[in-house]
Amino acid sequence: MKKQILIIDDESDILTLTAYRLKYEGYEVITASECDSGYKLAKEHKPDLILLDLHLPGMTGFELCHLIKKDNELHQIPVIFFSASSVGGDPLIKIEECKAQGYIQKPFEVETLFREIEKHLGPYDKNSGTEALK
Amino acid sequence: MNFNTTSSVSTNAEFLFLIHLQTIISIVILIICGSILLIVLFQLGKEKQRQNAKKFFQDMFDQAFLGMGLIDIKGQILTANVSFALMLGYTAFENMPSRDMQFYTEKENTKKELQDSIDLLSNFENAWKKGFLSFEWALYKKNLELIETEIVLNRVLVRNQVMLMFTIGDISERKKIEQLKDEFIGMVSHELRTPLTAIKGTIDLLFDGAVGAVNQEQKNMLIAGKRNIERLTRLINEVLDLQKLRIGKLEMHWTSEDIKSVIEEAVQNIEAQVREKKLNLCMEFDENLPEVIVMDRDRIIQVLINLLNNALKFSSKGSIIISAKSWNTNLQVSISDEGIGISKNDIPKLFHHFVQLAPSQYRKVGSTGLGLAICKQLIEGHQGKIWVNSVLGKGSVFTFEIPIEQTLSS
Repeated sequence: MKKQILIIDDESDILTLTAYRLKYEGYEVITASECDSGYKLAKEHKPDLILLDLHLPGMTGFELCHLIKKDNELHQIPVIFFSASSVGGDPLIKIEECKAQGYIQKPFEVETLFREIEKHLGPYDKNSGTEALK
Repeated sequence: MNFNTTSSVSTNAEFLFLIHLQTIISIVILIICGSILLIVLFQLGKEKQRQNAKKFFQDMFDQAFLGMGLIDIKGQILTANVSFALMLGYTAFENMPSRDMQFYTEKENTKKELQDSIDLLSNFENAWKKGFLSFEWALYKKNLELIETEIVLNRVLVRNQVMLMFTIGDISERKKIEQLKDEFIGMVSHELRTPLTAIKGTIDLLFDGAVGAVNQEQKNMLIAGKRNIERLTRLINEVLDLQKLRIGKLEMHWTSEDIKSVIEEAVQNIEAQVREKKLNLCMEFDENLPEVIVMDRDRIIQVLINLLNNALKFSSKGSIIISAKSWNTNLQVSISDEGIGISKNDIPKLFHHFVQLAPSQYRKVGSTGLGLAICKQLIEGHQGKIWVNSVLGKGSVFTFEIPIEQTLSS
């Protein structure tokens, strides 16, 4: 069965491109552009992993992560931040604070993205992914 | 008759003598009084002069722009000027509620970015020992508003007594501006990285054939795009790193690491480019390398990649050798190349910001001139040092050393 990843990012281009890339690599992808709808999608689908931007309109990525980690149904889902930001102190400390599993600095190498995802979901099956696109 | 005459003469003479005596005595008294008066006036003048001089220095002291005063090693303020009192919201030093400097601050400053030292008293002790110390410290005003200050302490000898003289400047305004600047740089880099992420994502998808097959010519063009995205990304990261290092915000994440795996990871990063340029790359590890060394893994990898990239950029033939060995109490890592080398005159400039030697010649290799300045600061963050030996036309050897004394027994 394919692993499902939820991407939450308010930058629609990045959202589209990252979703396309992950689908191409064989993952099933669902997307949201802000935290509220992202949280609802997470509750509904219980994805295998969440890729989360830091700066989002309304609730920030950190706040959503706190919410997910407090939620009995969702707390086991690995959360990986990906952000273009590095302002406001060291992000790694905040990431530990909200119990997220990783941090990817934008712009990122696709290999870095896959490595982080595979750390939590195991090796992916690229063939089933390409087939899934057709 | 004669007698009479004589007697009359003698009385006259006596009278005259008496008059003379009186005059002389008067004159003498006058002179003495005058002298006393003069001496008194002179003394009064001197006293006035002294007072004037004292007032002169007191006025100067009080009206100095900076808060100034004398303080002992225990932080007890012996005297301070009006500016110091005003800075903290009081009218004069005499009206301040405490002579203890610690009264006006928290014993341990909670604002981490302000200073490294543990508490205020240890700063006084250090100043006492070293003779001079300057540091930043937050102080409370009368209305409990917190101001950020820069305190300079120097050991002085006043009336044969050793004490500390302090000057305090309110730097709250400067800090605010610095913070604005930092936020601005952070915002700008965020705004630059976001579109770069989208551009990179697009090019990577195209290049990897995820949206259809690409021929070699198209691939070559996409490679140019990728290369320039990397260049721009590196510039943004380096500007940010330098900024963080300058304001002391770059925190180290200490872990115990096997240096071999650290070097191997850095090498993996540039292997493709080494192959592309048809260079040799080899690693040499000393047998008695410590098993693990406490370091910030990502930062050491960053330094290694930077040095390896430099070796790559400035080489068109030969080998790049990366070697690691124990040297006294240090771990020593060297990266040597057979590239264009650096002239003797240029070596001292190398580790400064924005220095790229002979820009016209080097610009084509695409570097920001920040890399080595960052490497230096990162290595210094490990209590280490970095240097270079180079011969123009023959190649360069960059070496850094970090202490292995924190080596943990595995």
